[in-house]
Amino acid sequence: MADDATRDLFPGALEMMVLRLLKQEPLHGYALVQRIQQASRNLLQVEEGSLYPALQRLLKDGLVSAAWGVSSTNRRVRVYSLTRAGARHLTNEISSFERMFQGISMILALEDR
Amino acid sequence: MRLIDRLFGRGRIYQNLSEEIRAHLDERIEFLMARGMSRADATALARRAFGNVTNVVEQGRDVWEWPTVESFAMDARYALRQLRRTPALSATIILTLAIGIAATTTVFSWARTVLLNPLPGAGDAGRIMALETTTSSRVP
Repeated sequence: MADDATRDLFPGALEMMVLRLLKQEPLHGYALVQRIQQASRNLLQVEEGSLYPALQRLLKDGLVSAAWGVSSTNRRVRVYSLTRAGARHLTNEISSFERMFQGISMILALEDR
Repeated sequence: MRLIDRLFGRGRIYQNLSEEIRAHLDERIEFLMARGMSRADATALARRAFGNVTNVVEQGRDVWEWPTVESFAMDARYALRQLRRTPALSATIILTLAIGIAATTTVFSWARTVLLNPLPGAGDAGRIMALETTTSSRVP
């Protein structure tokens, strides 16, 4: 779904948002997609296909853990939760992202001469 | 322990991933059907939105790959497949190598026993002499 109006997220953005959502509560893949859309008030629509590889990366790095469970709709789902290492990683990511964002905003806010 | 887990837990990882994706699609399909879409339409739409499932599973696998060992194994399998594809050429090459190695080995083992190794039973090979006897009857 790459319209002209949409753009790719920068690398690591999806992972950061996933970690942030999991900090609230453990979720499964489908719920994560819904949450990202809802929480961003439809501004962000995550490509479902890129979510699962991202989750695998997080799993491999030990930032999240996964366990099969039952969802609220009584469905067998794989629920992800944030590990302590994941919480630490998230804090670092957010602060480095904020610095980057601040830098970009300052440049974009320059006045014309 | 993690290494062993990784080596042997592999099949499990892939199975979990594909099962998870199937569950994801099911959930999406059910959601769309609850909004009045037919099963066929819902399935098509869900699949389209998800993208190529095989591709996604593969990308998930790549994350866990152990690059050097696995790509080496892949290269080896590829080489074997190529050998099997051209049996005549492969046989020729293998036979050439076999004859070459056999000939070299033979020549070298001959040279070693005859030329290089000291004579068995001789303490000082430099002092070995040949003795001959002559008899006067042979003198003309």
